[in-house]
Amino acid sequence: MTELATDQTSHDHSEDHVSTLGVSNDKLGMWVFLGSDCLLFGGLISTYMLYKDRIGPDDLGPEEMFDIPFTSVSSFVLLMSSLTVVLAITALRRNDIRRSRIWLLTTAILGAIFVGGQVYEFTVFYREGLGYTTNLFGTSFFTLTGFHGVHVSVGIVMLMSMYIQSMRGKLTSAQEEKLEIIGLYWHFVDVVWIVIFTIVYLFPQ
Amino acid sequence: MATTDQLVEGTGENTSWVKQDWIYIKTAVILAVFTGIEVFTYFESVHHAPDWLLVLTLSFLMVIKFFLVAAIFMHLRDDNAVFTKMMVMGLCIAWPVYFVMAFAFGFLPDWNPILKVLFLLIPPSITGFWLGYSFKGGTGSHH
Repeated sequence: MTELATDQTSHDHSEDHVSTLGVSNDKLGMWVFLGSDCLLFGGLISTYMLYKDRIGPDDLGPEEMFDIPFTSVSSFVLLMSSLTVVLAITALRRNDIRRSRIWLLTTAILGAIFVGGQVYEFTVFYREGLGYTTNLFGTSFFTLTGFHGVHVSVGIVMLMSMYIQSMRGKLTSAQEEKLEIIGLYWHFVDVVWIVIFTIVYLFPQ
Repeated sequence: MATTDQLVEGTGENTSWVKQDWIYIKTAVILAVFTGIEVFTYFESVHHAPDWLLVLTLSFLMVIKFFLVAAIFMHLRDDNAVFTKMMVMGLCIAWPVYFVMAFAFGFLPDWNPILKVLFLLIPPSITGFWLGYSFKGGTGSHH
């Protein structure tokens, strides 16, 4: 009877990960979340597009404020972090824990460099006279890029939690899907930045 | 002691991992090159290109970069088709919504209304048709 109950429990647990669609519930959940996040960023980008020209005659606008070479370097850093996270996943898949850990830490560091760059950019803007409530351009710009920065920061926290789990020996190739799901989130953050960088910074003003 | 077969199998697996990693590295290089081209468009004093050409080039590169990350880094190319369909469905809905807004606020050229309607409806219609056509159906619970 006990054996039967144990069998039943293990059977139930194995089915936890697979939905009737034949895919993992956790992964499907992350994709649904990413879909909803797409709409959030879509709304924020549209708002920025609407308000970017709403500046006073003496106010500083996007052309005067943006430092494209600096932002290009940050964008490159974030783009490369997508490569390092995918290398961490493949290393974990082949049970190369040490290399996976190195790539995880590299990704978190690259993410931190990006966030640091954003904090520096915000500080420069503020010192030059563009605050959150200065004009509608400032409000929509800080809201959009700030929300993205928060997403990157949450990603760094998740990567570091994976790193700590790995250091404690709790992250093995059996839990590869966990890292893959965090990787999906990280790539999404990168994809959103690809759109923001082009539309907000590079499109002719 | 490992048999020859086991060694060959192990080496084959390692080769496949190396190959997989190389695909990711090559993708990252392509993305970096595209980003370089994008940044080059910023220096208008060097290339003197008109604004419409810049917007077109930047939009094209942005879409290619978006799909490269989604297909290769996010594994949509190799993963279950359900994930791709979910993403494409979202884009199908988003396309008309954002373009209606863009037209309404005058971000896009003042085209003929028929051209506008076609521009709004053709991409999601084609994708919607592909989605409907490719759904295989399943053994639903009502059976």
